[in-house]
Amino acid sequence: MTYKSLLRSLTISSIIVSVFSCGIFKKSQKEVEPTKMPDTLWNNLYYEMFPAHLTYDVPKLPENFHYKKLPNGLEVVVIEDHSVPLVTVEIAVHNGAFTEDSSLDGLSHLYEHMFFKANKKYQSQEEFMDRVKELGIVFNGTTSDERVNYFFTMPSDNWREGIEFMSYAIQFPLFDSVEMKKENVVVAGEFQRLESNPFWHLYFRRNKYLWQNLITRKNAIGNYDVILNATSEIMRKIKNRYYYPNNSILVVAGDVNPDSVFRAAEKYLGSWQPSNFDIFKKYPIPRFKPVPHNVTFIEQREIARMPMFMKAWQGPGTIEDIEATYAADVFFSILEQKTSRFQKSLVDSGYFLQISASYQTSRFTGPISIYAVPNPSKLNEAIVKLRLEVKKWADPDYFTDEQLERAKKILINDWKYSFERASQLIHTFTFWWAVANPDYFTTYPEKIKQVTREDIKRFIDKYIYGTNWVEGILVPPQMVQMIDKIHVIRDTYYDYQYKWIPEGADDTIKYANAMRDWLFLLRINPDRRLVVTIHSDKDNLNEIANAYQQFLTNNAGLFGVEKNRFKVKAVASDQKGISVKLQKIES
Amino acid sequence: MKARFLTFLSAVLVSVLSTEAQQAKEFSVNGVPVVFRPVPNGLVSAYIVFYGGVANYDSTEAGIEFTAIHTAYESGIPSLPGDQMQDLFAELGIRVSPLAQRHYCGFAITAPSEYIDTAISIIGGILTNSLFDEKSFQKVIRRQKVMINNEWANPDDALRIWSITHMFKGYEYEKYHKGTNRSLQNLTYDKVKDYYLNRLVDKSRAFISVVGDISEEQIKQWPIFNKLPDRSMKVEFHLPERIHFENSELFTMHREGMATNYLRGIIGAPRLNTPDEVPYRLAFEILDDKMFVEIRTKRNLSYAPAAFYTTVMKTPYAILYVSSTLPDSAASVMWRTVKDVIENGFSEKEFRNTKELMRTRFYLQMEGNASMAGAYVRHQMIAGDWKRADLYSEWIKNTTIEQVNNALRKYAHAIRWYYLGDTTQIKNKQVYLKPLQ
Repeated sequence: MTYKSLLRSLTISSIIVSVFSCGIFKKSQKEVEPTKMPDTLWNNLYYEMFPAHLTYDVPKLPENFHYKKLPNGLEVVVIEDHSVPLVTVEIAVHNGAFTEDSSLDGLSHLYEHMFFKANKKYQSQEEFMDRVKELGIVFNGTTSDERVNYFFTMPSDNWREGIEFMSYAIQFPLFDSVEMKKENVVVAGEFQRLESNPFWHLYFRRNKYLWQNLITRKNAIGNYDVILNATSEIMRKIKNRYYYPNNSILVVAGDVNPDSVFRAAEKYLGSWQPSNFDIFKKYPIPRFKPVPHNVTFIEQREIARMPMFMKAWQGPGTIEDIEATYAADVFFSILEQKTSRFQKSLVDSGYFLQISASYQTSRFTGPISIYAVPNPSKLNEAIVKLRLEVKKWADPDYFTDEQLERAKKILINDWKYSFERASQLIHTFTFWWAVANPDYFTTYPEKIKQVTREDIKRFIDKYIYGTNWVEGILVPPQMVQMIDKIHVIRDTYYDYQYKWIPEGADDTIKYANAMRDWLFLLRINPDRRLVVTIHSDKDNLNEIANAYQQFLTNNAGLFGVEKNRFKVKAVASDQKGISVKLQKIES
Repeated sequence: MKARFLTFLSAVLVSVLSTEAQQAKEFSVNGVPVVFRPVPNGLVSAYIVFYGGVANYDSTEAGIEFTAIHTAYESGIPSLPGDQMQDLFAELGIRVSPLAQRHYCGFAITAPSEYIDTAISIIGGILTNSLFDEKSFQKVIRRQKVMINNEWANPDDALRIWSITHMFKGYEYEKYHKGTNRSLQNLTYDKVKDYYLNRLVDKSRAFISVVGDISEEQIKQWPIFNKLPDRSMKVEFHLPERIHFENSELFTMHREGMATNYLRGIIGAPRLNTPDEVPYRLAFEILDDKMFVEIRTKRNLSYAPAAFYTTVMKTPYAILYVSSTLPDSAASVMWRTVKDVIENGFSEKEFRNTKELMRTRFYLQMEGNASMAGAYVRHQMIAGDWKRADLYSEWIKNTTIEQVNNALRKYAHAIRWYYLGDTTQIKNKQVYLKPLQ
């Protein structure tokens, strides 16, 4: 992930998707099914949070950074910058989506909200907010996949009070049940705002396919119901698991003297009790399963106006393949160049209006993403063209030496620019602390310079050709017909949710075209079977399902499809619609 | 090359460890006004802009400046086509953004000090000798169409654009500077090219803002000052003198498929550069905080309530903003909060605290070269005086609570609500029709 893209991340409740690179499955060529491992085995595979290559006694830091570790394990970093009379105080914690199973989905984020409420000293949110205002604090917090951070920016005369104020919030939150109940609704409101944006649906659905049963580990915004039902007890559970000085870092940036900050940190946070257990041994982080097969989906939304396309793979993580994270950054910096073959083939030729490929650095498996705006008049061709382009990525002449060297300079320039504003640099620094370690931040330019063509080839072979992809397109309803589903989804796993609801057994005619599509898919995918599930609260549900089964049976012969390769199921449900799955037939 | 990169970072580090700060000043080079603030941090930010924006064209051409400036940038210059130029910029750490706003257009540039002359020289070439090719034009206009449609899909953007165009019907701000689906259909390659070459670039409307590690002498040597054509084009913004509502009103736009509803309540406001401007700004800063407490903290009616006085319009106004699944309740609480303050005034404590908060915000803006240079441009283009950017903090410091209370009573009479969402959620329309005074 480049520094520029990092800065694009959202505030409170960021939906930054970070990725953990697993590299746990071995595949070297495209179109090879991933090694099959039973679910039970996957469920017992965990990441090591702090492997030897990410640990350190004293980190390497830039010239104006100062470091101290308190006896309770709290790391303290001071970034000295006197350009303006401001100070930013930030505490970051190893918490976030990666620590959440389905029972905690979204609760790191709710916890982040509760930080800004009552604590032992400021016993209501009103008192808390009064103190914020007294100190002239501009505050915020963000929750992402691998970090929760809290930060106050204030005039430099107030920084000591700022650290003291933060020390109460981080150590002694009250989780008042009345405030909890109220805040649940606020977080739900944040959720609703996301849901009102059509791109969110594309993004979220992509993630469901990419992270599968562990989607909660990559979904900082969480689950609506879990958030609404959260209690003070659950908040305390999170605190007792993760909120310890030896799982956190305090960074103070701006117009301060480092020694004074170290003294204040000792005074206000020195008595914060460390954990008496190994947090990530007790609460281990499960490994992501590889995407089992390529997935293409179509997301149809009334509120969308223009098509949007996303494609993703599971990429590397700093835990298991730190070198690949540098190669990924360099490779995608090549693709971003206007003169790159990637941009020439896809944008200059008119298939896409814009396209961007990136890797998001993560401690665990990080996502490799393509975000693109296809030319609405060339939707089908654009998607197929992109697939073909990806197949050329490892060609020896896909990029020039000049482009390779330029890519490195761009990344290093971005790194240097991050020093310009102390109030922003502090977030950048804690991000790298969370996804790797401080050394990763400091030595980044040096490591980037060392990336070779072979490193990039290894990255592509392993993470692009060696894994399956997920791709999705967001379209408004009037554009769905423009997508040649057969063409776009050829060779892909087909999984689609139709929103329209069958009313009766005699309306199958309305969906005849769709059903013929399904039969054609069966014809071109002889190793697949079709499962159609009709969800409805209609009394005549079984009758409808039988009518669909009959329609498919009557037409199967036209497509040369055996009648035992499709099945229509009826499920009584309030969630109305039809789901269609083209499943691999297990031998 | 390597040594130069190190210079850039070293300069940043030396600068941040010192406390040097110098005041901005204005001078003119060959008739072009320049505001300059030296900051010794190894970087230089420069804005080169031309006044006029939406006042430069009629509504059938809405979006033409946006298309023109982006096409020029995309095309590059004869010695350096657009794609090669952009890659060169990236390689040298030069950041360039074409700008096309309501009031001005041009380029924002930030570069390491050693490359600023190169950057300015190339941008000067774009302004006076762009390739302006048709392929780039087609690319830009396709992107622009997607952009405006995606903005319309985003409820926050849609509500903002709709409320502004509706409120300023018949005036310059009715034109959307990025264009509409209809106006973009009118923009042919020849028309946009003609606009760029013969109307947009004009010395008489140029303004340059520079902040960073560079000397006044070096700026004065930039060849761009001798190359800009002087077209002496007049700019006149046809706008209402000020926004004022006597009665509260509700305008709605129904939209299916959203999980929540979006509201903007517009309230009248004093004109810029009048004695009431700064007190009114402070009033809405305090109200913003009160909305957070009343709407979010106490009643949990919304994640994102806000109140602010927008001073980025020549005819400014104040805004109440909220997204909520309970719009009637949210609107009602917002109305009551403003009304209570009109009747009872702000407390000394909240007044004092907000001043402290604004001090932090002021310095945050001064933290980066580009942010500072952009602030000078905005104040010059919109309010006609770049010095406001530096003086605002002092003005706030000198404002009294009486001035703040009086300003609110003087201008906040009624609310014009704009509602985007499920209109069946409006159960009690009367909530939106109550005047403030």
